[in-house]
Amino acid sequence: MNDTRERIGVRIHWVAAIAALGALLLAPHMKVWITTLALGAIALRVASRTASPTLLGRILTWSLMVVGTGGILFEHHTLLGRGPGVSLLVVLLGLKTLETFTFRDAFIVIMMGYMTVGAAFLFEQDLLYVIPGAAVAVAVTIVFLRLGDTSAALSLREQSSYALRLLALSVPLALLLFVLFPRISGPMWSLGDAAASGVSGLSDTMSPGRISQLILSNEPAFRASFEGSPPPRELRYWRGPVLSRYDGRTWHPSWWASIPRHEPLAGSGRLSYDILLEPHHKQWLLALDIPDRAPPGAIETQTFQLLSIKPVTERMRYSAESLLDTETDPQLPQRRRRLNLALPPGVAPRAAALVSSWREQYPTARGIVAAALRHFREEPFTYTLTPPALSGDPVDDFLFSTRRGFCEHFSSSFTVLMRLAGIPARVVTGYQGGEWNPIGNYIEVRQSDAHAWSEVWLEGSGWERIDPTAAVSPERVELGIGSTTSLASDLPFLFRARYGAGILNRLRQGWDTINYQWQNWIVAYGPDRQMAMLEKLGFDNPGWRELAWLMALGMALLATLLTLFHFWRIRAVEPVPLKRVYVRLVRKLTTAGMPPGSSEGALDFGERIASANPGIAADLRGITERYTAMRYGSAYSEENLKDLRQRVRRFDPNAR
Amino acid sequence: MSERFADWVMRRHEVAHREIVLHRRRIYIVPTRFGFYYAAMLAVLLASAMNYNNSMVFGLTFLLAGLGTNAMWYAHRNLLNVRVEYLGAHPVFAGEEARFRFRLHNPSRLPRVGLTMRWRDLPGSTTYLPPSGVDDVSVPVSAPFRGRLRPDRFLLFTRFPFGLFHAWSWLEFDMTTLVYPAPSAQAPPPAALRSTGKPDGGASGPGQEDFSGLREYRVGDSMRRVAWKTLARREAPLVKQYDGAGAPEVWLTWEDLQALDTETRLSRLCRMVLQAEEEHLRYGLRLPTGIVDPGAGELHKRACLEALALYRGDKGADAPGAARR
Repeated sequence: MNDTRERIGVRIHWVAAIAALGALLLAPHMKVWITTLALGAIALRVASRTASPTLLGRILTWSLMVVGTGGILFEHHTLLGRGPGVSLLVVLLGLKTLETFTFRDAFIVIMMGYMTVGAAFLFEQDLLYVIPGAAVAVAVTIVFLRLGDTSAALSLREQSSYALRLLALSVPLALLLFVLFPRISGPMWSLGDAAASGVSGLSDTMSPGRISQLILSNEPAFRASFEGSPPPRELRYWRGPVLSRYDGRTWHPSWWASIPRHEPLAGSGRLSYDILLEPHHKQWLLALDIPDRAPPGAIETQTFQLLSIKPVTERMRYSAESLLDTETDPQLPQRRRRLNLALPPGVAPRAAALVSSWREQYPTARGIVAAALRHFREEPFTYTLTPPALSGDPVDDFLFSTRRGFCEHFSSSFTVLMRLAGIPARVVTGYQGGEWNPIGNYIEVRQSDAHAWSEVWLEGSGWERIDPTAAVSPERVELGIGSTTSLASDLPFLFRARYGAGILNRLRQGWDTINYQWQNWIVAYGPDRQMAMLEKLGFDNPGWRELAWLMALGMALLATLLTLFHFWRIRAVEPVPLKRVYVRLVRKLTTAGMPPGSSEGALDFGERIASANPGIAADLRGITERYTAMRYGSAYSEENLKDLRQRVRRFDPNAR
Repeated sequence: MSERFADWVMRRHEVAHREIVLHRRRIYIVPTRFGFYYAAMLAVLLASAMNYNNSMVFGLTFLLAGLGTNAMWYAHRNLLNVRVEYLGAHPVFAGEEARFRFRLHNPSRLPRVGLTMRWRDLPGSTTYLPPSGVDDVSVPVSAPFRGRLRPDRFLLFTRFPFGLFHAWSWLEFDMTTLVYPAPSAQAPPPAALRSTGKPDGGASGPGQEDFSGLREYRVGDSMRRVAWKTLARREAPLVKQYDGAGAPEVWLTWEDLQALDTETRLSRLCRMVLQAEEEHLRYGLRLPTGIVDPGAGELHKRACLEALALYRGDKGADAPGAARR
């Protein structure tokens, strides 16, 4: 780019190619019309073959600009924030390519190409999506270098190797900055895109059919790594929203569910673990039943839930502790007893009749709980992902007619039964199970592990977890969802493979391990990890100033190393093969008793020997002349080198 | 680059006679306008990484920062240790561009990509040096005035690999080339040419001059008779001897062009010399400052043109534009 206004000519194809790659990289996150607009503009530029801007082209570009901006404004009502901002970037990328005629224009497209990669990472940081992003960055760099090769002397292959080498040399500096650059938690300014829509995950209400939709999603919910061995599968109840209010159809959380609790729990079976939670844009944090002590930035509520202060909009890492065996709420105050017994008037009359018969039979609350579970087990209830729609009172209809349901049906009707019997009860949603990944030593919990169960409050022992689904389909709890044979045909292929021992499962687990480590070390690297890392390196709670010093020191060291490296690479050397040939000549002469003087140059040496030995003068002069021409002149070439080598080989210093 | 900085830089380095090696201290580097744009892009990426707390965007930003830094090293080392050898320049007529030829040597095992050498704002010559290779460049220099042209510093620069950094070195050589007066468009008619000669001087055709041999140079011999080609092989110059002393001659004379100013006269005479040579005449040049004896051929023509180029007016004032800077 000697003259930045120089015409780009046919190199426009390369610029257009990376612009198209950038637009395609973002296509999954863009409205179709935006990608179409950008790709259309790029295609138009390639097809038009004009070498300079035209009035028509300018009018077209500006009209498309107005259309694009207007469309984004129409959809988002703003140009700020991730969604509209990135849409605007894609539109501008297309339109800039359309009016790229000079090197300066092409440079802008290159910069935008890099920015599309950054924008793509804003949407997705999973390893699977990082690979195409990295590929686009490499492609952009190659084209960048291609435009910079003003002598146009390098082949595409050499240009690519230059670009890759430059990128590889950038890695040490990037690593240093990545580790040491001060990270601040939380956004610096809000751009109003926290409320992302269509994110699958638990909901804060529960009505029949909600969770079974979730079951079909193979998306990861979170991963938990344990210091020691993980709890057995039947104890892996991951506590999420606790729902205590029932309106006759849907369960809602009560206001107690967000009141902080401060007293530590007493009990046994304490477990510490780390959780890497996928963003779900809600506040709850998942934890093993029952969590004790909230991580920083979160509270523990009266319903033994962990709530983050801010919605979880980024992948989040936290440490938690849980008690597998503990007594919660040994006393239940009157108000809360009433809350956990409340039912809308006239709910489930047939169930109420059934419960009153149990109350006559069993005097204790425990007896009634056992009776209800026995009822689920002995009556012909079926656990299915595709339950029929319920009519009338959903509890009655499920308990007495359809009898086909999923965990939300069982937990909901069981809780209603308990409340009818005068036992305080509530619904707990969350996840159950999760798959142990032996390669990465963590439990992987997916959306398909979503579950709902009940808690009943019993005099003398507090809240107790009851899972009515387990009464009907014990395998669901013991082996996980994929093993419930009646369900297997409803599930996507991967679920079935998941719990098998096949090679496919191994591969999947291996990939998931890599991805987990990726998430855990790279993507989730934030203020906490940075501090932990620095403490491990021996810095006690370093502040900004220490970080800045450390960074400056590291960069100075790296700069020195790189400078030495570059100077070493470019050091002046004689062409090695040429030198070798000459050394061979000198050795021949030395052996024959004609050594060179200590400060004698090749020419002087050659001339001295030649004039003293007329027999070899012609040959020696020829060799010396050729050697100096190659060494100091412009005669160096493979052919000449070969010729010289032959001459030296044939040269006989003893010839007369 | 500001002239004052350039002058300061040039004072730090000696003027070279034949070759210059670009050592570390000769190479300067600054970011280009693109370099600043690139930094701005990095700032945008960094801001979004911080705002969204996005590790991958942090990673990308830092990688691209590293890329920019390494581009700086690459640009610098692209010039490092390159040897520039001055080959020469042919004389030109005033108003033309003189082309100074250089040979660039690459003493290292890595290629040098996109080196451009130029003088002032004239379009330069861009080259590529293979590993341990050389390439010749020919750099145009404007020659507006007759005389001895001594160009000031040449610029050798590179922006490889990305155009983000401009690394350069200023090179000044102690070298000159001759600039002949621009031949005037108006050529006097051949008849007028002839009439300036001896009255009986007829046209002398080609081969009129019979070369008879060489003899040792003696003080007082005309320089244009020196057999220059033999000088390379011998220490003492030889002088060409000619037969046919009575061959017809034409004199191109300063006095014949009265009522014209000095430069116009020189232009006219220049045109006459060219024309006489073209018509294979035997011609001599008579200037107030000296005389070039009649002769013919390429060497003779050059001697005449040189005399015109270096002509200093009657008052001994410097010819305009001679020995610039």
